Amino acid sequence: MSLRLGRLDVDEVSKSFDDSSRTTFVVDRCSFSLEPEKLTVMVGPSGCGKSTLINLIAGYERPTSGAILLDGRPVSGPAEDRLVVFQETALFPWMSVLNNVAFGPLSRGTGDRTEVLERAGSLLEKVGLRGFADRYPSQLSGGMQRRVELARAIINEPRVMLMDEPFRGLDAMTRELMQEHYLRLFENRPRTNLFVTSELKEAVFLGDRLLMMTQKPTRVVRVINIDLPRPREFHMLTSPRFRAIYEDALGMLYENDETSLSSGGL
Amino acid sequence: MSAEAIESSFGRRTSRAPGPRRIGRPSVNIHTLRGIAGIAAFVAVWQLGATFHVWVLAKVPTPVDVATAAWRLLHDPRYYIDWLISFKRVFLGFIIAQLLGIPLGLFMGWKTAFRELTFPVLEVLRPIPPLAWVPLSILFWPTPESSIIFVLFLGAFFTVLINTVAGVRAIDERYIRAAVSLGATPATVFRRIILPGALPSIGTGMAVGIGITWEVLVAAEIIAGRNGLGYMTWEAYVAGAIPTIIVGMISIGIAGYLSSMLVRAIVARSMPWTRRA
Repeated sequence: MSLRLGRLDVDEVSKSFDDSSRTTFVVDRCSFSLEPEKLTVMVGPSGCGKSTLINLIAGYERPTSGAILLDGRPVSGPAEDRLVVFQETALFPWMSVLNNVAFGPLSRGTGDRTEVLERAGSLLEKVGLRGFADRYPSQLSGGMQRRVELARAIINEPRVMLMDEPFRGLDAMTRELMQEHYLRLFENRPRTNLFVTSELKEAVFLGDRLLMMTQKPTRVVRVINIDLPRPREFHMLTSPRFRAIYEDALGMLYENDETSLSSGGL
Repeated sequence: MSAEAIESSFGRRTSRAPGPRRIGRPSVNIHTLRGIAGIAAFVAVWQLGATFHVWVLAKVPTPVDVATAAWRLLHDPRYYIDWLISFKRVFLGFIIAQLLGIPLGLFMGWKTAFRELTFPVLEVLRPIPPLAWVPLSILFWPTPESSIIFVLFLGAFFTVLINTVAGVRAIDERYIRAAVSLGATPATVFRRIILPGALPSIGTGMAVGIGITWEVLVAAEIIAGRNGLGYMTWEAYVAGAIPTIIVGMISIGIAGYLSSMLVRAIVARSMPWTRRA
């Protein structure tokens, strides 16, 4: 196991888009680091540019200025060492659930076919989808689809997992179930995670560190350490320590931008 | 063809609802019965109109005349040969159109530069009706047979090409991004994302294309053929055998319907993921 790998540095990164008349900055001299084996959560008002940051780290887009380094080496283009779990599911509708999960290792030709499919099957079991391997994604519920998506990313053992509001749009109960699955996967095998959300409660519950973002053009205004013990359990949501951190962060949002509360609060 | 047949043609949303209506009589299908009733009503109106000389139906032979002519043809081996010949022409033209149209369409949809290079030419050629190609086609193809197949080919080619290009371009960018992130090479992206992603649209193009091919067949056979269902219909006109004209027309209709069903069944089979569980 490649211990302590997966340090990601975002250094003075800016991203602007040109339209006919002017240049709009979406990300403005943004700097932060993702530490190995830590779950970093990014919270900020919706539409502030968090998804753009994810796209930059994933390599789908290039920064206008600044650098993104993974373990000291600049990021150039998408690769399996930084995998995104998208807001809307990006499972391939024409492949069975099992083939979706096995897609990464099979397309890179790592390991032989039977071994990969076996690994995919046991990973599906871990996310509670035993017996769904032969279904097509459209035959699963929204929550199940996102668990498949998680499995499809994790099987590649990426150095960095990029979670772009992956539980958005799920009903409250499914969302809790997803948080539990996600936490269990992370805590069993910690790796660098960046989890983007606009739900502050979810952010504090899941993360080791909280990056508080500004409105567009976005950058980090504050980093909050979350010292709640792991494994995280739902009863912690009512603990005084959770409340203290949560209120501290909420205060930040107030202070920082009043409009962010309506879109990013509870 | 009933509306239900169209709706269920791709295997999704078959309206066979297991409701209480079906309990106790599983062999009787209300949808089929409606279809049969529709055909019966059509024939009845035709028979009455022709018998009592109503308006344009005055000069049309009655269904009984047509049935008699059909009965005679069914005992004539040449009739079956006409069927075979027309089917062979239609499927030859259709299959060549798929073999060229689908790869070309996939490539055009995938590579922007190639699309920009080829699209204007194809957009000018596309609106030319296949029949307008007949004179030229007779001139530059060595045999009448090859010119017929060429015209049939054109009927299906542009439809499948345009649908394939549109199918590739409609593939969600997220799928391609996800595949590239997961380490897929361009060849893998093409084979496992672009091709299956465009398949529903290709299927639509094929279903429409086979219909167009039959539409074009009659005219092509009239102009350049010596046999086939289209030529048979024309020959009957020249001989003044009006009931036989109608048998020819109905034969073409049935042949077109059967071909469409076949194509749709193949398309639906190749896309199991569009079926509802």
